[in-house]
Amino acid sequence: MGGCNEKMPEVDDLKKDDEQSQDQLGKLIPLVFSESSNKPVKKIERYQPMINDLILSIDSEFYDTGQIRIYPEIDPIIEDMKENKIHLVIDGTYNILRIAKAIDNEMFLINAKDGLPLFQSYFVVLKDSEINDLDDLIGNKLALEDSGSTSGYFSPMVSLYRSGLKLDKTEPFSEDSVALYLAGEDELIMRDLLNGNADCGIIPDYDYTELNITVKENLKIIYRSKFMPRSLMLFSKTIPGEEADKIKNYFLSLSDLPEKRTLLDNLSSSQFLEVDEVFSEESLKNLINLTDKLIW
Amino acid sequence: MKRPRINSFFIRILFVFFLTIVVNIAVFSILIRYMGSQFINNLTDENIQILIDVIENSIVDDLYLEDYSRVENIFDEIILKDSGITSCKIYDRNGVLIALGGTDDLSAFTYVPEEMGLEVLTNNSLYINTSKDHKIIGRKFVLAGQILGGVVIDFNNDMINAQMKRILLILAGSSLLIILGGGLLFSLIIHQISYPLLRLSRIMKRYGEEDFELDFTYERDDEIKVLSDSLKTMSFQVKSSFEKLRMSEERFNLAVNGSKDGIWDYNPITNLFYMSSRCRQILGLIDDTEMKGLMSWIEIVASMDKNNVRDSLKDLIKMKHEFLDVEYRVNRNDGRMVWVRTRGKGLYNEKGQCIKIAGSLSDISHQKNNEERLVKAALYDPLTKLPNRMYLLERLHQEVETCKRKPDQNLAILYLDYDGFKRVNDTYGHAVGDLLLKAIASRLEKCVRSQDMACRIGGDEFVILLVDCGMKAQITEVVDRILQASSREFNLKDNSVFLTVSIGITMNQFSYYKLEDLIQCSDIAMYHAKNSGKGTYCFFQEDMQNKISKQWKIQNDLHKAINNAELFLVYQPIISLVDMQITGAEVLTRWQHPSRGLISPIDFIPQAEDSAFITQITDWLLQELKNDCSSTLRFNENNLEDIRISFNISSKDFICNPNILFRIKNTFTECKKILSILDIEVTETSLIDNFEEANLQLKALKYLGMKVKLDDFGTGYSSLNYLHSFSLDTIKIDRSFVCTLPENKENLNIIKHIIYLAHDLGLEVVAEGIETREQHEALLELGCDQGQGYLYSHPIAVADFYNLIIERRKSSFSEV
Repeated sequence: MGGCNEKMPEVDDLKKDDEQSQDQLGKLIPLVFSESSNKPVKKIERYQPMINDLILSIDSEFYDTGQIRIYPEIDPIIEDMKENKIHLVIDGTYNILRIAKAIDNEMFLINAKDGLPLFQSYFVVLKDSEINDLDDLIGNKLALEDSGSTSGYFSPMVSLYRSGLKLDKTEPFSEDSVALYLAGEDELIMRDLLNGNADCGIIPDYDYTELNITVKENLKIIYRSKFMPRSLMLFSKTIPGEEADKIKNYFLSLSDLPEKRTLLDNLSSSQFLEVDEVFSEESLKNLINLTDKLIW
Repeated sequence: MKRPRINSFFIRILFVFFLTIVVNIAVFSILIRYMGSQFINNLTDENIQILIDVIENSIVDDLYLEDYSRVENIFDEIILKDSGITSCKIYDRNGVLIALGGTDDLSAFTYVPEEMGLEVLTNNSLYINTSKDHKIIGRKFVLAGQILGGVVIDFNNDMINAQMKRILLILAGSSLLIILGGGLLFSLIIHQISYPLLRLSRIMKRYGEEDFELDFTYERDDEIKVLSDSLKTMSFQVKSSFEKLRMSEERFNLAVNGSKDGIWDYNPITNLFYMSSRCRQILGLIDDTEMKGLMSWIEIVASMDKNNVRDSLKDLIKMKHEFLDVEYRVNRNDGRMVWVRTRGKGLYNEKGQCIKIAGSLSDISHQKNNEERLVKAALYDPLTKLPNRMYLLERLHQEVETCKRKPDQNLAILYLDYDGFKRVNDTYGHAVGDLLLKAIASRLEKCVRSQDMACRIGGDEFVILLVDCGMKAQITEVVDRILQASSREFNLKDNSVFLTVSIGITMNQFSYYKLEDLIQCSDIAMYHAKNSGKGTYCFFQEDMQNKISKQWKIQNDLHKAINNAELFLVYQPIISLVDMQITGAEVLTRWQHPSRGLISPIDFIPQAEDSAFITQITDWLLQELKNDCSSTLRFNENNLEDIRISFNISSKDFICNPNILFRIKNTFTECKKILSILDIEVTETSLIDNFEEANLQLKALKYLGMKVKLDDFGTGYSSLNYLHSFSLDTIKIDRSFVCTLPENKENLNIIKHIIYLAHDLGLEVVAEGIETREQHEALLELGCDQGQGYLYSHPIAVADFYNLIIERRKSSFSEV
């Protein structure tokens, strides 16, 4: 990935789209920032100040206001992005990669959520378990979180996919494959592991450090996935290039401005980073390609 | 069984407790009744608002996401039953009812019409009181300017009323239980407090009745125990203090009763007096009501001492003096006047205010009487009871000071000398003389005012002090009264005596500051009066004072005269009138003053007599005479044994000084023979005034070998009766008779009889002051033996006298 501009749509096309939009509306349009969440009110209340500040900061020729739009799931976001109803979307890496795949756009910023730009998922088993590596998972039951989770699903699935192990999602599980099931939530994964319902569980590194020491003493990490961004921000390709740069610079500079630290905190972010600063666009592109293959 | 005390602590607290509870409940019930409904209404409105908030927070996400399937579940989480809410309707952003909750009574839903949903979405808030019993509250949900939906709640007021009734019932029941339970509990607690307190109070009551054997035992460990222990400790201390106090009081009572003093104390703030019985006894007070405050005290003080007592008390109260010590007289109710001495000490607070005075009161009447007697003995003449000289001087000092302060006041000093008193004494004896003095004193007292003072300062000399006496006219009136009173007959033990008095008067306008001077001035004036005719008076004048000053000067100089050899003797020859031979000489003293020249004896001898310097002069004269006789005259060697030398001796020195005999004898111890040619000259007055003493002295002198000449005969009493009574050898006729000769036949006749009588008694006669040949011839014819005077010779020095004798004898021999 050479840079944002390379992946951006043609200028004429963009202008055309914007002109269309402006022509249709006859005036400047709002810049829509979205995310998937089942707590939309809280998200709106927290993000609205940020989007307002963004509009004031970039002095845009296209956008006069900022709007937050929260969706219960990814699919409506994809639909609305395709229809140019959404300009920016922030979410877990897996969801963003899926949207990017769907709309064919690769202009990202890494969101250092809760101070962590990257993470890795641990494959953990009980301490006295005979499972010691991924290969030992064959014939055993692996608890994943849910099918939309980056850390609890996408990251371990990428590892399993790359290990070449045979995966089985349906019961009865074949003994020569790794039996997978969705536990639903992080806590349920650990519950199932501890009560024997699962032979192995997935837990992100940032959650593992928070575990009780007693619990930790009874666990054993058999595999650490490769590092992966926790959260990404995706730019709509309908945003004009100069506007996109302004917006991008706005987010990149937020962490340098103490007076805007609150806005970052409301996004549960410590800072925004260019992808190549901590990861690689190539790796990210590879992950985009895997999204379709790893759908539950 | 005792009835409970209505005023007891227990009953009162219990009553207050119940009263408080009942009043509180009554007030609270009224508040609940009139304000509770509104309060609950407001409370209910708030609760509904809170409920709406809860509903909003619970479903707003679902409304935003338009996931209405979960909205209806809200009523599973929110309990509406028994909340008064009959229905709760939730609408979507289009006003379509999407959820319904409420009571089971479906009929209640009719209160909220379906169109209410749209209405609530178009209004910010909704509050519609649809009826008396129902109220409808609604709110729309908005997020970022986007309407998400709304809620409408129907609330039934019956529920409020029912709750109100229930609250009141609960309140009433609770109150009753509180009153009964609390009252019972409170009674028990109060009883726990009051009973021990009552017990302690009974103990303390007995303690107050001085029953010290008390039981302070208290079992429980609480505040009453602390109080009980404190009282117990206090009781021991009080008992100990009481014992000490009792003993102290016993000692005090013993001391007070044993002493004759009374005890008192006075509180200046309350003006209350305490006086012991002894105190009241001294003051003659009968009951307590007689002494009320300070003024009562002052009232019984004798008028002359009131100011003193008042000032002393003021000084003590104002802290000018720390102690009170005042003596004063008190008029008792029984009419007696007693002298008391009050001593006291003040007690002051931190502001210096006197808060108490306490002290003692003593009856000092006896002491005062003794003092008075002593004072009288010291200051009064025991015979006449009149003030004496000492008192006079003291009083005079006071009065002079007063006159200095008040120049308009005059002071007069009358010096009285009764003429002839000595004669009465000598004639009728001292007993009669004393009676006379008493009678004189009595009359004098009647002649003066009470503020004046009559004094006896010695012998027959009296002084009267007239204070604030006005001018001379007023003084003269008093003097006339005295003269008149004194001239009346004195009847003394069947003896009638008539006297006259000479009075000298001094007034204070003279600038004499020595008190003695003032008296002396009066004395001088008295002598002037006496000299100007007895039985009269004379005011002192300044020339008299000049004379006195002159005399004082003489007195002062006289003291130096002997040492400076300013005195010398001269001899005036005495001639036999028959043959003109010198038979002797009269030795005269002369004073050659360094500045004033020759001073006559008449001028300095009286001064010497007054200052007692006469004794030294007499001694000097005797010594000079001895020297002259031994060294110049040398009688034995010069065959002058028939020459007689006569010398004068002052009557005061002669009569009043019994040592004169020894002094003469001692002077001539080594040359006793000289005594046989010496004649001593004494005056008629000195002999008569001191008859017995003088006669004894004369006899003693004669025993020494001396002869006695009666000098200045005829100027005094000239009583021929005396001539044979005294041991006389010669009489000298005074020059006042001689100087008128020979023309004055009367004097000639007197001299004739004197000479006749003297010769008849075997006495020789010497005439003084012969200055003319006619006088000489007349006296010679009358038979006078000898004479002296300027006719024969002025007084001359001893050497000249000796030469004169020798010269005369030679001429006599030549004549022979």
